[in-house]
Amino acid sequence: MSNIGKIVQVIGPIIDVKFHPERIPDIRSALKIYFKDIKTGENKEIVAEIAIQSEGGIVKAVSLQPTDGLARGMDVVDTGKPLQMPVGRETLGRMFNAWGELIDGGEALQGGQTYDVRRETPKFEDLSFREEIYETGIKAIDLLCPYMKGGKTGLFGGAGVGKTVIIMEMIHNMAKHHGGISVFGGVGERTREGNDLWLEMKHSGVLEKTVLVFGQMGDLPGSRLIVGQSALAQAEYFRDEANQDVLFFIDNIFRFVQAGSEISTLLGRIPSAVGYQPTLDIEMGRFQERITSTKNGYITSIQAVYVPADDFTDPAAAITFSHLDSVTVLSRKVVEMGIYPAIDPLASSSRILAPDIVGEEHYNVAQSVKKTLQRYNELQDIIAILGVSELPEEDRVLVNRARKIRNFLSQPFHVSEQFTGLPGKFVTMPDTIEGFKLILEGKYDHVPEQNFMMKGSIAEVEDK
Amino acid sequence: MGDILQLKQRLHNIHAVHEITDAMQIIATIMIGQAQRFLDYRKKLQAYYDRIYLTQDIERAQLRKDKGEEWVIVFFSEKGFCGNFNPQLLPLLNQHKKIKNVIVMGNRGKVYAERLGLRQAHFFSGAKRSPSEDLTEGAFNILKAHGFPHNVKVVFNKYNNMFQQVPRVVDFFPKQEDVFSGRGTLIDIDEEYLAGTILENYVKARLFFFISQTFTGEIASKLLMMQNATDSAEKLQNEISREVSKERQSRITQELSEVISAYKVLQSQNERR
Repeated sequence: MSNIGKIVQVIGPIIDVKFHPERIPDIRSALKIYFKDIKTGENKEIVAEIAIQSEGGIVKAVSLQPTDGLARGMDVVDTGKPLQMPVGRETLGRMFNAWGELIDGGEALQGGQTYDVRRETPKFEDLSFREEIYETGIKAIDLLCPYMKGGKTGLFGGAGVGKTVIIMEMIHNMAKHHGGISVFGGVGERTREGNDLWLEMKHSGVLEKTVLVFGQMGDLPGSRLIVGQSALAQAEYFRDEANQDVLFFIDNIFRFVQAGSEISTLLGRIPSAVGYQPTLDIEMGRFQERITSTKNGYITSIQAVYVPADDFTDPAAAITFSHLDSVTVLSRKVVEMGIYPAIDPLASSSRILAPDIVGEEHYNVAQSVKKTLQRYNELQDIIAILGVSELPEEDRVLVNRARKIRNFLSQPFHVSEQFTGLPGKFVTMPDTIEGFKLILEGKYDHVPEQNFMMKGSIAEVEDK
Repeated sequence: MGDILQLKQRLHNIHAVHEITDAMQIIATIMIGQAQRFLDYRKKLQAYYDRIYLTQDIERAQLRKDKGEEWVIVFFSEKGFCGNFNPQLLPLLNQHKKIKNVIVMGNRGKVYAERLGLRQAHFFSGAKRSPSEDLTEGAFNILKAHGFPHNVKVVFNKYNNMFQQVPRVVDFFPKQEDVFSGRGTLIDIDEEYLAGTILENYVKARLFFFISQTFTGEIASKLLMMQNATDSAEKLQNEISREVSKERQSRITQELSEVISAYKVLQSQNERR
């Protein structure tokens, strides 16, 4: 016999439901409300998740869909289990919403296997670590903040600095150079971008090996809060049951925090620093701890992190930093110089940029590049006041090389060919290291700095 | 808070540079008037020296010029911070790079000569608060040791006015038609006397004329450079001060909004109870 409750209050996406005091559903149980829309006459179904249990058998549930049309007294069905996400090989090439419904207009799934959206983190003894570079083909990333197979990477940046473009380029490169299964979680970003991504994946032939889960910015906070976890459940299936390595993309993890903050406010919790939810740390921690590699398989995660007002001390950005193995910071100052990808070479870092992992040569070149750019940065104010000509000869040479390095960190992308008019380039790791090494050694001191803009390998610099 | 501290540190550094550029600007302003007056005086004097020099047998001088080795004397500034004053000489000097005999005047010349690969050049410098005839000694002695070669080019910045110093290549020894344009002259002078006294004095005076011109140009360039640097420093200071204020204000606003929102939540919870 199903457990039925009654709606007693609806405030925005928060629904208060009264159950029999002896049959109160668990926190995180999924509820369903079936009703007829009075305007259209259509039968509708709304999914909600219990967040708080109050006195008198009342539970506060967070709706994942708009609550228009609900009324006090309507029946609410307790499903008796948490939110479920379809998993399995048949999900490959398909697109879902946060609560597991297909949204690509295709045929219904045949399998029927589901996973709880909210799952436990793997046990400590099941975890596995390997320190191997994941080659992205993007020079600035591979040299200065190399990604780790089975590691977590964050792409930090303010609005419009190119986080999504880098993710799309990596998906493109993944198709040609890596293979394997990937899961994409679209969290609270533009729906148009989701469409672009789907088309890009179809065009590059990776769609058949990818699962897409979207809860975009038009969706309610409940949907945006849960969508990352729904996508993660998909990735966990391939890791744990199919024993496969998975690439897990999230765009954008900040929206997960933002959705949590909206819900926290609606639930009447006391806000913490900068107005975020007091449970920010634990919410992010639980989510990030699930994205991990086990003895069964690896999840390599690449997460875009929006940085509000370009302030990296914002709690949402700061809390995400602590979970990551490598950090790629995109900077507005670099965008203003017209350098894409707009990676800030000094703020970006990686745990595996160590000589025993990446090799002596890679490490030394990366450190020299950082030192050169750091010195150039220090000289910026003096250059702004007195000009380059007044610097000592040694610094002038350094400034020239630093500018060439800065320009050479730019690269044409396959996914932005239509905007730049330049064919995209995948640069291998040895080519990347060799290129920067030659610039540092002064082999290209005679070449004007403009020649280094939007180039792939160093050989192309001389071709101009 | 890290950002504000960093910005304040930058502000402090820029302020220190600003004070230096400001002081240098004041010094250059004082010196430029003096240097200009001195140069005007030397220009008038040089016209007389040129006429005296041309009292020699011009045909014979021309012959010495045609047969003699090529020399080039380049005048750089003594000190830095004078913008494009030195770099603008480089293209002209580059054209005479193949000439073996090079005399580089001015302390800053060493860096530029090295950049052009002129390692065999003779270097002379001597920074002073005002141009002094002692500075001609080194170059004079070299020329004298080589029997006062006549095929000598001079690369220098011609001082037109405070805002314009134009790089030029001129003959060290003037041409008769330039000095006596449209005027016929008839001079009868003892050749020994000419070579022994007039030529030596003329070379010294001519070298000093270029030094005076370079000195004035250097001061003028420095004045403009320091004016620009002071303006840039002020602009940077304003920009960074604005950033500091903005950052500070946003933190105050943030703290206030946090306190108020927490108070509101507590108030609403109390009301519900």
